[in-house]
Amino acid sequence: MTLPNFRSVFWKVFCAVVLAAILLVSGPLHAAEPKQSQLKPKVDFSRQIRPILSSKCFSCHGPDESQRQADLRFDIRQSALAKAIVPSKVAQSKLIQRITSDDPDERMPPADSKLKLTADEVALLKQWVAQGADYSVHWAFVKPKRPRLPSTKNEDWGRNEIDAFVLNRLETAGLQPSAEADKVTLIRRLSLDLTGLPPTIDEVDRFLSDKRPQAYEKLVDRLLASQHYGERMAQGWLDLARYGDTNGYENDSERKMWLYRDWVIHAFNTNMPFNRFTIEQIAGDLLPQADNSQKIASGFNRNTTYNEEGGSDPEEFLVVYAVERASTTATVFLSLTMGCAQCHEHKYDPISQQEFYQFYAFFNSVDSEKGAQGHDVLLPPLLRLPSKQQTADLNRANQELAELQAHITAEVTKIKVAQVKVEKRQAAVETKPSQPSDQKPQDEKVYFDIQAEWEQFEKKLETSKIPKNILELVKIKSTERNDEQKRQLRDYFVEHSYSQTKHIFEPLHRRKSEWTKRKDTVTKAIPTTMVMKEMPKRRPTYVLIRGDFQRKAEQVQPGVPAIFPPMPKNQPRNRLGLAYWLVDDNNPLMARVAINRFWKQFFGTGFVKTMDDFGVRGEFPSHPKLLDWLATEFIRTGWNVKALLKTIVMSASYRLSSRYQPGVDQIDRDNRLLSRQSRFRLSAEEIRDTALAISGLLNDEIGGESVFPYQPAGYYSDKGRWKWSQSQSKALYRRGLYTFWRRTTFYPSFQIFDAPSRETCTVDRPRTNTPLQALVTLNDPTFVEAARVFAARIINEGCSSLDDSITFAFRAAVIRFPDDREKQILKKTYTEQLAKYKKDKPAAAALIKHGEHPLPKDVDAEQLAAWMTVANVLLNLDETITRD
Amino acid sequence: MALHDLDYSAVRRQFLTRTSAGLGAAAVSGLLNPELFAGPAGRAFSGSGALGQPHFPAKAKRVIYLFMAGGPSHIDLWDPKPTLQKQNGKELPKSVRGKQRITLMTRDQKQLLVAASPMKFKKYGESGQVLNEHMPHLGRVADELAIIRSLYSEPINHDPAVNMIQTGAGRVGRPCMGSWVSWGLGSENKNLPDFVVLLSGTKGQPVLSRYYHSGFLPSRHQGVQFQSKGDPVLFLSDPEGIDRQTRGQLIGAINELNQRRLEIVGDPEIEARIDSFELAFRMQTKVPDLMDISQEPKHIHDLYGTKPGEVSFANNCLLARRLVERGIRFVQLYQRGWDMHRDIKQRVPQMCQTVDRPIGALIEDLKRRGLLDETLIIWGGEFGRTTYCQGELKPTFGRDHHPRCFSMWMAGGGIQGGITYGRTDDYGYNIVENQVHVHDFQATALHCLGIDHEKLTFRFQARDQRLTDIGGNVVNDLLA
Repeated sequence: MTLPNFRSVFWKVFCAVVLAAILLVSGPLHAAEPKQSQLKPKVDFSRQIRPILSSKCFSCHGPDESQRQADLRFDIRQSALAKAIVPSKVAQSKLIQRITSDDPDERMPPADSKLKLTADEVALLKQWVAQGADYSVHWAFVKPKRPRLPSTKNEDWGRNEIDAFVLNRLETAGLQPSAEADKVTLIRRLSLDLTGLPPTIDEVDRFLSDKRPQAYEKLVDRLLASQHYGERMAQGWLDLARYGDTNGYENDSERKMWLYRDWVIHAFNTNMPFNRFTIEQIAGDLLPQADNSQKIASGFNRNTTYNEEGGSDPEEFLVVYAVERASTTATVFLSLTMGCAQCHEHKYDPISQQEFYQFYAFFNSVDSEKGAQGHDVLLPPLLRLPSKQQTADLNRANQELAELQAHITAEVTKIKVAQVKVEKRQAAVETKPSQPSDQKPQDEKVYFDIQAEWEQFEKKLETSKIPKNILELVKIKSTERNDEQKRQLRDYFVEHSYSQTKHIFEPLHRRKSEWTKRKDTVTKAIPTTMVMKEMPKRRPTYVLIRGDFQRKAEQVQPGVPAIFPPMPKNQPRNRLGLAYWLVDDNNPLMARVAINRFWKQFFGTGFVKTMDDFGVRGEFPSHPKLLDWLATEFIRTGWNVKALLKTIVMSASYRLSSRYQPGVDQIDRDNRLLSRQSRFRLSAEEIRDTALAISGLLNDEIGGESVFPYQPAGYYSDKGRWKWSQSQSKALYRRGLYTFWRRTTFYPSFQIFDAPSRETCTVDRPRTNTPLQALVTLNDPTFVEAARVFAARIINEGCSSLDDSITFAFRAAVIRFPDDREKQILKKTYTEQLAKYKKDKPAAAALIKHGEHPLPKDVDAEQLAAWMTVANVLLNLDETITRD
Repeated sequence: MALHDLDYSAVRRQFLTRTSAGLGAAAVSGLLNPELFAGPAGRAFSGSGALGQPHFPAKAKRVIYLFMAGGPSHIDLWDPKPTLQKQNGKELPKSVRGKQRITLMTRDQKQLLVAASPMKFKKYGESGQVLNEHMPHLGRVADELAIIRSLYSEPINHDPAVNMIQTGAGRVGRPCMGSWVSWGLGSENKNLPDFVVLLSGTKGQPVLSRYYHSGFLPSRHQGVQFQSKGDPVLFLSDPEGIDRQTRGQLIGAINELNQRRLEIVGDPEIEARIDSFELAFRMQTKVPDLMDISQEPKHIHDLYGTKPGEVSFANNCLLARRLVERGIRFVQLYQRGWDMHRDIKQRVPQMCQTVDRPIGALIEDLKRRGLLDETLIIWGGEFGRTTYCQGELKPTFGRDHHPRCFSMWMAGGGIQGGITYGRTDDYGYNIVENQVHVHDFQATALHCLGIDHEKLTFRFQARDQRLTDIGGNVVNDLLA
């Protein structure tokens, strides 16, 4: 046996192991082997063994060569068999000896690794070795095969294929599906899941009175056709795409990117096939005859944050941006943590550092991208889409400016006398420079009678305001200037600093600056968005040692990791080829990853709970066969998103009640087996949208520039040089996804409700429950105003009796009818508060003033204030901000 | 059991179920329970910590981190180089500069001229700690400080460097130290958040909310900024027209309705929601009370130099004491204004005047109250500044960013006072003895809190992530 590269300690340990192995050969373990393998079910390597090996062993015995000890790796069977495992011979397998050893020096994992194997894990490993130590490729790296529908004992339950898979798992665990939810719950669930908005009372009534068997399906079709469907779907995608309205990092200047946001909404609304959706975002700019819409889509890869800090190294940040794009693409479309291989070989997944940089090379050649730039500039490559009027306005401005410039140039050339005058007095001035002019404040324009005096003045200034090239000419001795330099200097002086020509040029300059301003205004208003564009010649890519931009190793070409099928032969080795590779039927991950996310939207948790990691450290799917069935179905139907979602929401599984069932918690505490629907809090944006919708304030326009809703006064004061200029009137009530997303300090109520900053790709938003959230829905001006407008609505639309008004208000907020106890609580609130405000009129007057939305005429202040408190209660209910 | 295996929400639910009964009535009637939970393991505002209890007995229970944003100049503050006077105006020797990267602000400079410090230094305390003469108040407590002169970091620009020292890596998206501690240890106060941030200063880099964000940890562990102007906590005040009684009645109604819903659907999250509204109600009185420093006696204002109503570092130091007194786990103060690309000579004394007296007062005050031993105090920025001047060597010279070596100090719980650790070369440019990486500093701070930095982990993107990323060694010489 050869023992290469052993450190001495390993040698000692190894000898001890061999000795122990000899002593143990005929021990009790050995004798027990056949029995074990016969009685116990076959261990699944991919699901049960690889997770143990990857978390407890791979860091020293895995894919990373630089960290590998004893030349042993457990990620490849051949290596494991050569060194540490004898199939079916537990006692002879050094793996088992070492993990069961009592000798601390010998025991694996070593104490200093702080890793430990549990007794269950050891037992599993033994069993696996006893059964022959079979390896299989990690499940997610094998192309999904369409599974056959499983059989179920209960043949009456279920509406489509999904239900067969779900029921099969439930029956295996000894569980039954819950009852179907009532119709009111279903319409609210569907509306929130498909449009992000609650249904209106009218919509609910129509659905309740529709007794046809296809009523549910009609509702699904109507919601899928709603323009708000695209907004709902975009919201999650924008987290993945890390869409923001600013550049990030420290200065966080504004950028223009909303055309991309609107593209996403439109793509979902028009049901763009998901493969097309992917291709256009990864490489829309590279498609043959790419149109504007496809170029806008390519902005996916420009959502990267950009650094504007002074003194930043451009090369360093070009690397940072390309790394970010590569990692994000891998996370979004493959759920792979490829970024781990930026500095070293991936510790768990079969992705080498070289393969990371091959993948990175696709994103490393953005034309005119800069690693560092100033503040408040739009970052090229850009796509500008001016309207006809804007084009005309620009042409006009350019023409005016050209004419003015021609006029100025002509006037400058006319002034000939001054030239003589200057030269005459020059000698005298140079020996005795005039003093006082440099005493004047610097920002005031200073004029001179003589060029030489002006030159002396400029030379003395610590910071001159004249252009750099002119300043350099000033610094050259007058005798050493060539004719061209003399002319340039004279012309500049004549135009800008000569007192004798002031009357000619000042008016011209004024007009020039007016036109320049007009031009800037038009230019700024032109819809503009950041897009991808390849450099004419690719920037070379190198493996960077430890990820350090200064330490280049070998050069690499664009490519995909070898564990996956190769790129299609007929496609170019650029982003476009990469895009086609992603959506190729043979790609094992793409469809599964998409399905997992869609599933989460409708069931609260993905099949694979580690949404960002389908690698060997990721969780094994709760329903592997259903995941694969849906993935293959998605591909079979041409990546048809609406069709897929319809299949999901038409299932009986989706329609189950979300109520907790006694007893089930002990078997399936987190409801991973789906014996009921999930119940979860709405997202930050949905909580806002819901309050606005309930009150009737919601402005449901689709798309356009981002808006600036109410913000706490002074919130930005210590967070940079940035101001929040609040939007006016209707723009205050747009849906949450149009709120201006300032990445480093974003809209506080969204932050409090777990929205991400979007500085990086976010796969999974947490759902927390904190007192700070209670303060938002109680007191944020948006919610206070919503309560007031809701109160006015209750007065207008409610009925004459208090009882009916309470019912109306309750239904408007949570959709279902209140029970008697609930009505009683709200009635008490109303009467109690009405009595109070009748006594305290100033309080009522103060309360109804909140918000900019105009008050209705002839309002009864005390009544409105009392209803406002009821509205405040309703907008704060757990049920109002929860999807049941 | 690894941390990520713990079902945190279950732990919380258990707590809530146990304590929420009876709180409803108390909240509505305005009766408030004692602030601190009894017993050794604090259970509170956001539940107990994920660790349950520290890995080993903690010296410090709480942290006050005085973050000096912008990169304070170590050779003008903590690491005097008297011999450098002779080199003043001379080119920094190539042998000293080595191959280190420098920023683009000075990279194209023709010369890198040594600028000796215009500051004077004095010895203070029995230990003879050497401090800038403009730090007399800190001088009074010099024997409490462990000055580290050999910190180093990698990023050379502010934003990545702040990320590095706050989160253990230059890139964005990771939790900061306060969030890790809040997540790991939880809080001892049920009425207040366990990670509070206070800001002061106007010049220089902005303090982004990302710097105190919880990254991939549950977002309730992000730092909550207490503002000195306007609502101290966002949306804390009720709208005009809703008084305390009405607010109590409305929350009572909300929770009665939530309770009704809970009976029907059985979702334990509703219990948590009920509790969060009660906590919000209590915060509405507790936070303004906490922020009202006018309650403090005159001698305390004299000690700190505080003026109620101002936004100032001094006021924030006093608030920090009030916070730790109430058991808040992690208090982070940010003072802006240390990014001195020019005017070292004027601005260093100015900044010293801003921070010296309040910090001296804070340490003394904590000591008097017996809180210093269980409070870890940290002072420092994101990097140091260059020995050479930026631009020409004129009286108004400034210095560029220098991550290769810089100084910080620690004091209080778990720290051995009166020592100076680590040594830089005669130019204050390179470390020659006992270098302390940012990860080592972080490991040491966690150690004081009873946390093994390698065991406080959270699974994210396939890795068991930790504050110290892949490094970190506890600096035992700093420990008491």
